[in-house]
Amino acid sequence: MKIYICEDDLSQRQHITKIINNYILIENLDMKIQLSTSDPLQILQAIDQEQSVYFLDIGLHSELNGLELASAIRKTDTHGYIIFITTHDEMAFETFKYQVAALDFILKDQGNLKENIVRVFQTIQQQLMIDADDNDTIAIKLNDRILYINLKTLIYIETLSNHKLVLHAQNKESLITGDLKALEQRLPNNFFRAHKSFLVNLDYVDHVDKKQNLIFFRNGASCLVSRRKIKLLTEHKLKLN
Amino acid sequence: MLFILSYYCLLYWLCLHTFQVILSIKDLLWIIAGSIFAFGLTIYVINFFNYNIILMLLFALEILVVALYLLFQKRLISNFFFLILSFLLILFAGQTSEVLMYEFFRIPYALQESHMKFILADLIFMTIITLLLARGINYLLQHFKLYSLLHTSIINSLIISTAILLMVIAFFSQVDNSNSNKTTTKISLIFLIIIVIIAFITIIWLHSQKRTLQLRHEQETNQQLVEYLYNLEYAQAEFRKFKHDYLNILAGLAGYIETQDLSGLKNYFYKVINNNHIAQTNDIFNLKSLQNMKIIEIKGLLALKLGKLHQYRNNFRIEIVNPIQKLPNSMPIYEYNRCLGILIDNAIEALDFHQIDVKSKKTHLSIVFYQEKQQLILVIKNSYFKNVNLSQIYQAGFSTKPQHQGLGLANINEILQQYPGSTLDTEITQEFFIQKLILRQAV
Repeated sequence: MKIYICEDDLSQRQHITKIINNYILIENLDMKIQLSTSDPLQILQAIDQEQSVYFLDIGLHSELNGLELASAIRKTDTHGYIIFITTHDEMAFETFKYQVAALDFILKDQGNLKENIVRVFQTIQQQLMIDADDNDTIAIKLNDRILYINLKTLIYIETLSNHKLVLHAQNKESLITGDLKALEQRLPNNFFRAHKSFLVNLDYVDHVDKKQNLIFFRNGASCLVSRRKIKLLTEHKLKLN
Repeated sequence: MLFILSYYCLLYWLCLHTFQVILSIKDLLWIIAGSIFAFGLTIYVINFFNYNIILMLLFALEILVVALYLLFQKRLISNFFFLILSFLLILFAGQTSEVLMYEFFRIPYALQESHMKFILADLIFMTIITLLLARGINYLLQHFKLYSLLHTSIINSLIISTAILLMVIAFFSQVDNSNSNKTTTKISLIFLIIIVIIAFITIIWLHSQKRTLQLRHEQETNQQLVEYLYNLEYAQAEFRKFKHDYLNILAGLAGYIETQDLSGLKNYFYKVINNNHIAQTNDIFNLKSLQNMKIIEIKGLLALKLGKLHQYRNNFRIEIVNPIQKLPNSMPIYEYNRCLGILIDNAIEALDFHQIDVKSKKTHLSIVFYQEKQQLILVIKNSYFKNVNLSQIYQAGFSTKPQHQGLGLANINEILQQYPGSTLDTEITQEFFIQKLILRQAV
């Protein structure tokens, strides 16, 4: 994996580059520092779509600041790991996370720089493992927004009045504005429209109670199924298996 | 007669439904049970009055039953006005249909009330008039955006409801079965005209009330700005103190440097950074984060709300990394501020302050503003300690807080519906409750 570093303070950049190089050597990681520079434009010219790691200084005193650089990088490398180097004052982790999906940050004015960098690499390793299993987040364009839905953890979708949908997933629930029909068309085959108000993920279905017209999921939740769809449901499930 | 009464009740519920008073099947079943009980009791007790008056009395009783039920569900205050309005509407429609029957088909009133086929015809007319009028009024209320006003302003609802009730009572005191057909028609027409005039006046009145409320909001904004100024002055004073302390501390460093005592210097340096005394001047840094919010109404609101959380300033963070100059034009600023205020209040109220460990510096509430492609995105994230059901939280009248009306999120919904360039997404994870308000630039 390639590593890019952008920090405009010379001594700090040299220090960080040295620490990272040592760490890669000692831990024998399959990574190398592709570019270490103070000029964000150089970074933009050097990157490609391959998933890489980026250490970016937030307070760059140049045409682009750290956040703008990160946004530009995101457009090319959508899955790369962005790590911000920041001071306590400039720290804005929530913004980093929401605006450019940054992975982690290093505080350069607090604590031991080496320890911070080691910790960040551990986070990267963890994330690599998670991402290997999880290729199932799709981006769906609804109205004029882009929704990111993780297909593996999504259990079922329920409609509420006023064009609102509740997405029930394993560890969280989301309430968004959207149209169930539009979603149904864009989700893969294992999603089945069991009822006017419910779209279910067949992978999570535990059993169907035909008397009460209910579908029970593996996590204990349940939802309605219309009588007409029960037959279709069993057929559909057999087809998938 | 019981048939007519039940039909009236059905019409009444339909009216309520049109005025967005939500009654689920369970609600209706309870109301039906309560009504049967109330009617039965009343009929048993009073059985010697004129048939017509009993009917109206029993129907008025229905309002009471529904009102009691709503009171039990704590939804009465916001919907009170519509209960009375629907009653008036049905009365009006009933009377109008009888007048029409008389004027166009020359059927005397006494006959209308005794023959089944005329009664049925009356009912049909009444239904049509009622439903048309209810739809019409609903449209007007939505067009002039008066629902939120009627839901929240008790004084307005009460004044208008009382006026309506007085009219109804006045009408009843004039109507008498012994009147000639002509007299009845005259009285009915006068009644009808008065209603129309009063309806007109009411809408103008409500509209002006809305303006008043808007002005009051602007006043609040001004007040927030004044408080912000005070905060700013306080921050300046703190900063001067800090500068003074800082210089002293730097002077302390000189000693270690002169004697080349590196380990002593290191210790002193890290001790100073962790020193509470300096950390206390974080007040300055808090307001610094607000500096990037160049929209002054929002800045004031944030300063006001967060100022009250001074004690917990280590446990919340506000991030506005890039300057935000202007609000995208799809929503007026006072409405956006209202939404923001409701969301922040909700987030603060969801926090259980007893469980917050100030020393841990863990963030329990974070407010983030950022801009992306001409959109303004606000994310409010708070930790919560009770279970929330996403399907319920947006209904008017739902609240997990005791003694609370639960109107905040429903109000936001109403505001968002009026401005199509806005979206609110909600997410619950195991630890946090996250609200994301996106405002687009209208093309």
